[in-house]
Amino acid sequence: MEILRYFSLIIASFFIFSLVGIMSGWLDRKITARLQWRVGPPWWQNFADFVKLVGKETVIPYEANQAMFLLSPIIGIIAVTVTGALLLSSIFFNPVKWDLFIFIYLLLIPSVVIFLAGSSSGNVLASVGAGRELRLLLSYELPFIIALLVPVIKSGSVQIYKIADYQITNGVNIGYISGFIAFVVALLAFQGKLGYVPFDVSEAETEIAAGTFIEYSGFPLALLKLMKWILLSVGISFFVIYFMGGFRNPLTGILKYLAVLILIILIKNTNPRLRTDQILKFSWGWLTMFGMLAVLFALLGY
Amino acid sequence: MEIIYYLIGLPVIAGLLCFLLSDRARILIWGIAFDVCLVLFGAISILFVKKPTLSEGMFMWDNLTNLTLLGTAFFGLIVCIYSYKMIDRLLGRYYGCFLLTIGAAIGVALSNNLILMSVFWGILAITLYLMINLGGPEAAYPAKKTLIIVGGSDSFLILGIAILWALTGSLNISEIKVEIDRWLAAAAFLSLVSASFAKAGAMPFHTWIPEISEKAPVSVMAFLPASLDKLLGIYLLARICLNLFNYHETMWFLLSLMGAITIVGAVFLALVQHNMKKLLAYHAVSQVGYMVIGIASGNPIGIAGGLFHMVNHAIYKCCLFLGAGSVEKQAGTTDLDNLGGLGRSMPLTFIGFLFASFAISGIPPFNGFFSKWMIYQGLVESGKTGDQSWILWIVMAMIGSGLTLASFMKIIHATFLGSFSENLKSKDIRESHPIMLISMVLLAVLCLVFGIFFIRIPLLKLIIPVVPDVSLDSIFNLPLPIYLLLSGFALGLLLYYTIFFPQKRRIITSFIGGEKQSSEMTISGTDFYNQIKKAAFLNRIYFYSEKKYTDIYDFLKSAVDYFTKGFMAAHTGVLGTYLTWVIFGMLIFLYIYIKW
Repeated sequence: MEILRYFSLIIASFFIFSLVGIMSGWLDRKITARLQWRVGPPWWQNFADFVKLVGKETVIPYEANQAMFLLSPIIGIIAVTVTGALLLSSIFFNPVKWDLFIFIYLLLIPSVVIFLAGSSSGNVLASVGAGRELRLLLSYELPFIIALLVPVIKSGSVQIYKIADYQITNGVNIGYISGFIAFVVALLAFQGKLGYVPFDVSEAETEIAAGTFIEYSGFPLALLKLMKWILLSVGISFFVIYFMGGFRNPLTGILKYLAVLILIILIKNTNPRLRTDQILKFSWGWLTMFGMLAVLFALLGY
Repeated sequence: MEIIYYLIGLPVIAGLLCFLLSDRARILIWGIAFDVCLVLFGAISILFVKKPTLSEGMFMWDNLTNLTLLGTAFFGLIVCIYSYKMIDRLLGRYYGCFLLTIGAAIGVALSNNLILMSVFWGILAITLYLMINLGGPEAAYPAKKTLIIVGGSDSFLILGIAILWALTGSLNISEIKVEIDRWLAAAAFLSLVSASFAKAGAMPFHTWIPEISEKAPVSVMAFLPASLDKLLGIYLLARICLNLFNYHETMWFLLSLMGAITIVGAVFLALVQHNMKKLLAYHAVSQVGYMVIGIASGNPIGIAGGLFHMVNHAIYKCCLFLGAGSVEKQAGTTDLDNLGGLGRSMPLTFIGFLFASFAISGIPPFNGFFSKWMIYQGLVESGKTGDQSWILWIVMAMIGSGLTLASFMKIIHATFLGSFSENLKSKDIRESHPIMLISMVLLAVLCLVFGIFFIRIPLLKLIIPVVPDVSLDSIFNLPLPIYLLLSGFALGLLLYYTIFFPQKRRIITSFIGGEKQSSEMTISGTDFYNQIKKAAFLNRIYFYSEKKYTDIYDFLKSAVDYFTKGFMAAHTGVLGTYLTWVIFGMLIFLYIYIKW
């Protein structure tokens, strides 16, 4: 009966995180619209978009590697859903045993999927986007890893539940100087993982016409969009658990979630798109330097 | 233990026999090699289950030996099967060297006496030289370089053995256990470690692997630098760190440092390569770093992770080289600029290559992830003693893993995905021969099996016997994410195929900006990382490595040239000058004799 628990956990994770993700995506659109003096879409707009895409015909380019082209989106959905299931697992399994490393490596899969999606479609603009996605991955991965190590140094464990417990007795990580710097660095790196402005080089609608997603339509496109939404909600939930003390009190938990989400949306709306070499310089220069500073502070106990 | 003599003698005799046969006896030569490999694999498998122990006299047999022997026999068999279609000339020499290599490798793994071990290492260096030379006249220079680096490292080995003998009065691994408390012991440790680094291909003795990668036959690359040299080199390192010497903080720190530099340095060089085989060769260097870091972490889970990574690396790197060989055989080139879109015509090779790429990049649930995960656990564990250097190692190891992923995605794009290359349109590219596919697919499946059942098969059967103090509690953290991932894949793919397939699909040619996509509009992917090459600070490193300033072989060569310049001036070729020198020398000797 163990297997049923796994299945139910995954299904629960899929529904919870896709609902939250779709609503977060709507909030993103709404706030963006308000910032640009538009009215913005109604709350059900993303559901409508998703349902419409599911019903459409799927067009596959002749040059594409069909199997890869059709498989990539579902692999991405599975990877982000499983990552979300890990976050939820404390409800079903006790004590929860999973650690930072598997989280970081699971979060590589969405980037790989976006790359494979672009690469397998056999379109030149998709190839450009795929190459950019890889350079983006290289850039943000280094500061992301360094920043996520800070709570590990503070609590002395890589187990997520121990890091969460540590914050009950010693105060939230973001309350420390090191934790705060690490949070900012990790959030900016995560912005790159999401592919949001200023790091939206691999999609860049105005430049390479959605790049990696250029050939996608219908159901696979819907899945790719859903993958990004789930990634958004899973990532923010992780940040809340990892840096801000988690969802023990549901009300403050939701407020923390909204705060991080709005921060991401504001960064997205107040910056222009960077070139990949600028991203590389920014990530391996400033972000990494601040990440190391955070590690130093953590070692000193601040 | 008479069986030891059979295990070493059988491949050596069969190998010598192969040398005598001409190319016309193709089936016979291959048959001999295959049968010997099969018999060895069978015998070693039986012995592996029986777990004989022996640790006196010339030979020793413990669980680490067992692991190395099984690896040697297994990869021997796999590469032997693959070679049937890959190698079509100088068969006698190829299979002769092949079998001699297996015999010598078994000898290295079994010898207890250090002198005996160094003799077997010497044989391995010579067979490696001969096998690289099979690549034709172009392979002569790389082969010479390899012989000098790998054979030269034997002198370090012998130096280390001599110091050990002076310190302990013994030459048997089972009797030596040295505390590094004197300079002499440290010198012995460092020279033995240099030897193992040169043989495994870790920095700074790595340059022979990329150098031979383009010239030597692919099956040689898949067999020696990718799998066997790693098994034996890390076997030697493990013997040094676990059996011969006691833990010493500074020395183990140096090991970790070299390991971390190897990971990041080699992977940066790999990123910008334009040739598939050379890129794979740089990764064969880079991955050694993980094994070194794991063993140098000094606690059971890290050491187990290092050894597990050694096994995993042999599996996926062998698979990757075999895939490169299939591509070379079908497309006639491994130059990434001239490849593209092969995934449609070679689907099985593509899937095998993709699996192995995921494994080497550490994507769960493939095997590479688990060994890396264990190494990271070992590093975190080593931080609990108060030493904070683990943060640096872990960051370097993890970013190395990210860069590995990036460079393999580049290969995947440039070779199998992307648009079909113009250069290949004239060729009729088909899936490679079934015999070549069998060995590749087998290894790819093994990558997945060793990942999914990582506790039940590789850890409990192979690794835990070698490192018995691994606490299984810390490893049992992993199954939850893995079971979730597996059930997620089962559920997701099932739903996807039941819901998605009935839908209507249409296949059309794609167009850009209103025009049909033409062959000028292709991005081969080889230039993905040019920006990294140009980035500040990194560009200097690339410049230096292209100038070969980091190459220890060229470095030593120029040093030797510098010191011998004076002597070269004396070599004029004029007989009179030489005679003058001779008479001058004789006069000096005469003087010395008279004086005494």
